[in-house]
Amino acid sequence: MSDNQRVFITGLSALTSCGETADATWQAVLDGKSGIDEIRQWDLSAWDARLGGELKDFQPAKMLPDRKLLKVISRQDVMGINASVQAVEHSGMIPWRDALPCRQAFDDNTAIYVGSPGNKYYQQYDFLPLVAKTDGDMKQFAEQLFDEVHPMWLLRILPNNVLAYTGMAYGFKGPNHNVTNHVVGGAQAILEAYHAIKSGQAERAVVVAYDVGVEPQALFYYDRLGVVSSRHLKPFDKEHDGTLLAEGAAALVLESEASVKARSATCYGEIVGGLSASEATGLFSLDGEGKPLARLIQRTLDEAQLAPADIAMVTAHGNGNIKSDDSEALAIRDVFSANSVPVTAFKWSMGHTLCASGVLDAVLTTYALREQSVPGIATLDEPAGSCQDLNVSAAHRPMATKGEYAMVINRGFASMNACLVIKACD
Amino acid sequence: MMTKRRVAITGLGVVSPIGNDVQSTWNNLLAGRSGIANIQQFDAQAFPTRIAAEVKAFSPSVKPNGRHNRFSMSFTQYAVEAAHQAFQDAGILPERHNAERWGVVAGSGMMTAEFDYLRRFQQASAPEGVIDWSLLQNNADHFYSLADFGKTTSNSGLSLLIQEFGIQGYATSVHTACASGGQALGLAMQVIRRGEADYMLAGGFDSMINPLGLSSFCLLGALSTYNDTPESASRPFDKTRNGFVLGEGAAFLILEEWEKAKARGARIYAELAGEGNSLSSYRITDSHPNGDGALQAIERALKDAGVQASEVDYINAHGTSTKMNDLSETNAIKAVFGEQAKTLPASSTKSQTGHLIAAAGALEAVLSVLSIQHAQIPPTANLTTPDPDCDLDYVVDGPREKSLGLVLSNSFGFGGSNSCLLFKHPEFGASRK
Repeated sequence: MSDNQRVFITGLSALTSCGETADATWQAVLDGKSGIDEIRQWDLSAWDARLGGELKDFQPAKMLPDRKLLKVISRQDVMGINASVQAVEHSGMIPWRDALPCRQAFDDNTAIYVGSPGNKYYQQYDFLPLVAKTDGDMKQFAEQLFDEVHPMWLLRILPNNVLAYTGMAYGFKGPNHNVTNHVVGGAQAILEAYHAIKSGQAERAVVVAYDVGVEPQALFYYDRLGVVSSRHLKPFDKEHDGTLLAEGAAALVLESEASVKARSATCYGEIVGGLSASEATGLFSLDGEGKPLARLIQRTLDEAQLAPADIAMVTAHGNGNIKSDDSEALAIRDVFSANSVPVTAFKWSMGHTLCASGVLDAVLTTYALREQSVPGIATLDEPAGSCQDLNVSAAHRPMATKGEYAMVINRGFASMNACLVIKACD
Repeated sequence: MMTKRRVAITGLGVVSPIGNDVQSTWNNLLAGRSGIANIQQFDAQAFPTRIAAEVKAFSPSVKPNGRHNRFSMSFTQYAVEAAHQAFQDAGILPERHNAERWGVVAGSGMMTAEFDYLRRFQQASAPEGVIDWSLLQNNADHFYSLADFGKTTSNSGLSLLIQEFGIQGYATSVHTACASGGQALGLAMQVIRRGEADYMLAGGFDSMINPLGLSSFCLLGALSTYNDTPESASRPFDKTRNGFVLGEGAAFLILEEWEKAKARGARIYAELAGEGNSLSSYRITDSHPNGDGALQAIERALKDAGVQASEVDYINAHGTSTKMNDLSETNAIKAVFGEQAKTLPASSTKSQTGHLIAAAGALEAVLSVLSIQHAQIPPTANLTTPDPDCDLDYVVDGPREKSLGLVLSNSFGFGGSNSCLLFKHPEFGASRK
């Protein structure tokens, strides 16, 4: 097997506040629609910051390959598993596999790479009645444990449930990782899957990421940290004042050229490279000048042997947080020069899905390349002074000449940055 | 085919239930000392399991310089300490000119809330056990602390390591339950191989020895209940095994691109020569009894390292002391090694260290490397009643001297992720082939 396989995108899915499919989410972006609204799952009427992107039609029993799973997983897992299943179905790989005389080689060479949110606060709440009742008395706590808490509690909260149940749904037994690295986990899952296929460790991979950014206890902290807005998500706009959190999931199916050819699969795009790195500035900090991000963008281009002019569109992280937007705008300007490459962002539409956002942005960027369109940022009225060198627009714009390559930027806690380059399919 | 960049192991660091550094951990392991005793960190007397393998008398050898310590769980200090030891052992640190060529991969635990934190949250927002979200806002000034948010963020431990050592390249955190530590090392090896970094800090850290962690495993019935005989409670492959014993701690290794390590005259403990990474896709808590899933990981590790099964000299087994793991692992070893399986030494160090969950694979990687260095195989303690279905050479009568060229370390996790790592003597091939 070659050490330098090309890596194609053959399946796409998304599950967001804008819609239950990738098509619906893309259409919402084109229509300038946002799925952000007052959070309804919990009563947050007393809160100032109570906007978020919730799934509008969450019917877990219908969203799973097997409704019995509901007893042994958490809400976030439902989304991740659903996104995996949608992408696998979209790829059409299962009917092809099932027609093979022997499926073992296929299953052994199918990998699963996951961006997982890790554990969430709401997963602890099963313990609250017991904690309240026993009031710190550890003896009583232990004695009443078995009456108060579900015996499968630990299994319900495993951070690798989506990995495990995606595997069990299809019998895939290839290499796998479950990345728990706050926001950039999803983007890193794509990069690891890309390398696994490129180097011949796997023939194909399901990449999935999911998160539940809207849960109130987390929202409480993000609000106190000063990174969420109480009114809107306007990336790079002069009124940008924070992000809005969201829940959702997205998935990609990636395949080697050999695997694509063998089953004459439809290609939606190609992953041609990417890198991730830490700025080493702290858990909640980032470099205000954007220098480390600029350096990562440059290294990513060098690695992919591309010049800045080869990039037809940048999908910015664009989370609407002032410091994040400003430093990102500076980094893009430093590499691409002022007002050059068209820049867009998607979080204004479905909200910031945290760990899912890297995969979600990769899915939507693949759509943009296919349609040769740079979608507008519908909430943009007037760019912030600090972002004036950024080539952004509220209107959709056709890509200049033949738009071959797009770059996705993703950023998270621990001052992590990730960059990914996607190529349009021939 | 392109030649793979080779990966040298040049530094080791450990905080374990049987020692707070590499040397004492190794000495106690060979001396047959158990790290398992009654739980000291909280009152566990009324739990069905009251024993665990806790870190004892921990005091960091280097005072961490990061100002972000408060943003991470207390057991993250084990990771920082183990990493300091590993850097010191390797005699190298990231510097301004090469910080971008340094990376880090941490196998991190579940980050379930600390009990005291959950209790504070309950008191602030759920006095009767049912949450009223307006109460959280009413009590916000009293309840809120940024440190709590940091501690409960999935990559806060990773962030602390990044900060402490100024690592500016690849950085990630992985969690596949008990396979986390092994997968972290495998991933770090891949990052060096593909040229994305020249130097990696890689390992794992975890502690689930807290009221919620202990509760979660007691509810599942996964833990040994031999409370009256803690030192022999973890008895991998023994017929009377009845569950694993929770451990805690951290282990980190310094990995370097082989030629770079050679060029600076580093002492190379071993080569991380291959990884096998697979998914069982069978059940959430078990591998298939016939070893399917795990056996693919072993086969991939052999293939990845370009070696034959017959060249493996010792297996540091996952050997958790649960009914299912030990049977399934035994059968996976038999499936891959065939006739050779019965004479191939395979021991479980968890018999003395307990199960460090997300750190287990990293600790066992260190122990595998030490077994190569010292030409000594650590024993499986407490295996006194043979199980007819577990019939391999588990090294039951104390440590065994043997020159080791190739050592395999197995880690299998809840959720079905499997990680097998192959460690090679630094002169393997030069003198042995």
